[in-house]
Amino acid sequence: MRGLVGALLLLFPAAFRRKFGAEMLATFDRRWQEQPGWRLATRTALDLVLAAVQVRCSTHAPPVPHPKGDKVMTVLLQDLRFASRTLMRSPGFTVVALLTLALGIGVNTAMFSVAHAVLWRSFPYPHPERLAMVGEVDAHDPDNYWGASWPNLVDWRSRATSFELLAGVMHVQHILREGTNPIRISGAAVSYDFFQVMGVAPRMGRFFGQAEDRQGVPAVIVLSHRMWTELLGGDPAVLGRSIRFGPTSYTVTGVMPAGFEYRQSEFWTPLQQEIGPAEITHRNIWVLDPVGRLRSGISPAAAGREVEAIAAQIRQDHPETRRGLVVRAVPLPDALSRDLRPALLVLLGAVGFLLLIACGNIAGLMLVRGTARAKEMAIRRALGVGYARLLRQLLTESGVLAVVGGMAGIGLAFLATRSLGFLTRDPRLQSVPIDGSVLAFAAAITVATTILFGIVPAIGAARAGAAEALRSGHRAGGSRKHALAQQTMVVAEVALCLVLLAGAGLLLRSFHRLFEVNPGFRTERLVTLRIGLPLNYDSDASVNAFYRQVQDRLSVLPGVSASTIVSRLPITGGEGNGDIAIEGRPSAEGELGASTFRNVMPNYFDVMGIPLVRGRVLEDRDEGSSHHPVLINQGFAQRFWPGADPIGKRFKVGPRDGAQWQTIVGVVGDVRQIGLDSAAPFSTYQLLASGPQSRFELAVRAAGDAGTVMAAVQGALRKLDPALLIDNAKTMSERIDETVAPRRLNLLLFELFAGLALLLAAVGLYGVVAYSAGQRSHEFGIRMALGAQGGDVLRLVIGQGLKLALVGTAIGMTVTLYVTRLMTGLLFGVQPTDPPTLFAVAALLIAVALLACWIPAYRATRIAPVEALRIE
Amino acid sequence: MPDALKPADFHVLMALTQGPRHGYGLMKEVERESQGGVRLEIGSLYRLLARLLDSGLIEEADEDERRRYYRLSRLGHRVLKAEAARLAGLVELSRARKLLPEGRS
Repeated sequence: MRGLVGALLLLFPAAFRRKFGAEMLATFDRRWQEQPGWRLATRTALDLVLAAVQVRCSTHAPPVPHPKGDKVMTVLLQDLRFASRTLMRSPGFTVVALLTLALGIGVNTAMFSVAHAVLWRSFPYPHPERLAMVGEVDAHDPDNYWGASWPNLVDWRSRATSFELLAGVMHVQHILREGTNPIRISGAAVSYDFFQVMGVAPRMGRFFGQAEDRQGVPAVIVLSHRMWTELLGGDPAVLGRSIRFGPTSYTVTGVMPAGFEYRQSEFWTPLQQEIGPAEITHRNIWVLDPVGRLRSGISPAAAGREVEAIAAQIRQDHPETRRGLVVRAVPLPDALSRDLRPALLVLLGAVGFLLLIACGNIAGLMLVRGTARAKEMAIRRALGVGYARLLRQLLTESGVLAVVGGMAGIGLAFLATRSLGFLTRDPRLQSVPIDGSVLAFAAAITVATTILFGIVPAIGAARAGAAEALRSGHRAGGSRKHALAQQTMVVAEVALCLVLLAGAGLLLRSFHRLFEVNPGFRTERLVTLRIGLPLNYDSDASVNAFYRQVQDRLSVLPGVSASTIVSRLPITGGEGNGDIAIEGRPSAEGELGASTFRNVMPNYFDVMGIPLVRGRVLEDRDEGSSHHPVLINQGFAQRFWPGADPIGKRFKVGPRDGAQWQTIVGVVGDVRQIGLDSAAPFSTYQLLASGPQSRFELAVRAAGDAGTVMAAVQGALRKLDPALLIDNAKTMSERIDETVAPRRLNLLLFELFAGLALLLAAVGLYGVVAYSAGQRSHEFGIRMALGAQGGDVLRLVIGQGLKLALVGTAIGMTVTLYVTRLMTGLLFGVQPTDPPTLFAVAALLIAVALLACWIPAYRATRIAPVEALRIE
Repeated sequence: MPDALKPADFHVLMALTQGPRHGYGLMKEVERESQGGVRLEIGSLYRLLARLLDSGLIEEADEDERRRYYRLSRLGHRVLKAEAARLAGLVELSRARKLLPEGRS
């Protein structure tokens, strides 16, 4: 609250603030201590806005008791004063209206600031609109991005004219061994022209050039500002220093400026030094994510078409590259936010609906007030106040409400964006700023809401015929027209609310569906770690010896029931894969699809709980076998040997000229390797001891508490070799949780918005029913005097409200069927028109509507007939 | 007839006849003396104080370290007296016309 007062103080002239600001805050603090609450908060806020305007006006004119200066100003001032006095006189109305407004404007501003920061932010590169990511994508599924191979990129570069420059970028990970614990950091191997594409200058030093972007020259590296300051302590003499990644030592040539950021890379090294010999020569290894700078005037789409023409020619000449792909060029800003875009747009739509509902509610409140004040208006008109003046005065009232509500909304948005950090670890959502454009947006929707909820009731109230209003006693003029407008608004609110509820329901159901998925292995009490061996394990024998030591140590650790080592655990993605070729089955390269591959210990399937379907698992004696025994998953077997026995069959995974023939010895169950929401891919498993690796993952099945076991395992490993890189120490459930975190966030936000919408719609419905019941209390009095029972009146009132709710639900359902289609991409295992979900949310809405109607209906039956009759 | 003082101004000046007050004290005093008829929140209160300071009706008393006190100036005192006399005149007139009950209330 103190913050709001502080913010409102900014409205005052600076001189005034300097003189009294601190004192005002102190005085407010004392007052707040004495009687905190919404009443005081609202009164103070309104009072501050009004006083600020008055002070500002009076500083222009000399301080005379009756300002005779600018007429417009005087009138405005009077209107303002009158408006805030009127608002303060009915604190109930004011508080409800302000809360509703603050909520509507707050969530919209918060969502807008997130969308602005992620989707439309200004990138730290000059002319970001001319940067585009180019690469091949699945022709039927453009979200399935393949990228480019090096030889293809070379051809694109030399033949395409749309680009000034087109650079190759390859994601790499290295282990940095500075200081006590080694850490894994991500970076990019880039062609020398990458920095020219980005158009930025180094903060210090220089970028590498063409002479260094080749094999066989000393390795160089450019550091991100963050890596330089946080990992290397901001050493000013960092240029020329060498950094070791594995066996290679890199000389630092430059440091990027702070704020330069490209896909969370911490360093950049020359592409030619990192890329492998196979990748240099093969057109069917898609390792690059190219990025280019377009010539001015060329659209990304046109550039994409040009490169596609070149790529089509290449596919003609090189059949092994045919995969049903097509080249797409996407503006870089879009490419970097591709994963968040659909959810953000849907959420923006949702808060837009919420704002409309809020406006409907406030308009409803204003209408009721307008009716109640019709007599006052009539008297004032009779006394000669002009129509325009009345209208302006009512609009001023909405304006004051909107300004205070808008300010509170901005405060709310500020809090909301700050608390996003607790909900997600996505770096793009960590520091969402409330900047100029966000404030402009908030101001714009504040003005828009004022017009939306203010104008119609104002016109109605100001126009009400004077004579008519005075004649018709307390049931003031125009009430029938008002009632219709009010009912229309409530129907619209209910309809909008149903759409939001349906969205939330569908997301909730998707989430449950996701957890019903069988991952293909047992996830409970599974402790996992990722390990990197230091350089001194330089032979297969030494690595294998280390594996055995780990197994020996862990097998005697208390609380550990079993442990196993694998090249890469399932679920967390980052799969390696290669083209399948099957012996005796001629096929074009890539025609049979690709398979993921893993190296495992013989006990892997036992420890993970992956069932053996056929044949046998791998055994220690398979080590070094010339048959290269391999296991495949069920999906693999069914695809290529349907109804037949695959045991003994041979196939290859990877480049045909290089890969070995492998002999199938068994079939195991399908595993969702990539994540719960992607189908189990083709998988192959070879013996780890035949191809030991220095980076691997460890899975430990705990007998008891996972936390204790995790600590014990880490301790044992450290004792084994203190130089080990150990990271990603998590339970399998935590890993799964991380993969569903974006969905969880969407769901949470959507549920929040739908819940608010339901609350607002219920309040709106309640308002209408209560108002109309109040209007008809005279009639109810007569009915009950004539012998009607309480139940009859109850039914009458509820029936009227329920009719509105049902009409709203029906309209909402129709809209829903069209609108939820837009969120198909966010759903999993459920159709956007899933009948049980839609039915359930409609039932919930009607149940809440019933409750909202029941309260005023019950009140109507409690009024004594005599009293009701006397009111007239 | 001199211009009437605004009710809020009058109450603030009135409250200060009892001695210097700080902002919060004034707020409470005005509310009490007007029997809740005039309620000043911080915005109006300080706007008013600024105006009264400008026109010389009140002045700042010696500050203690934490908050500022305001007191009636001599001009303020005179204005208040004039206003009180004007109000008293009105009351007498109202009585004479039988709009108010006789005697001291």
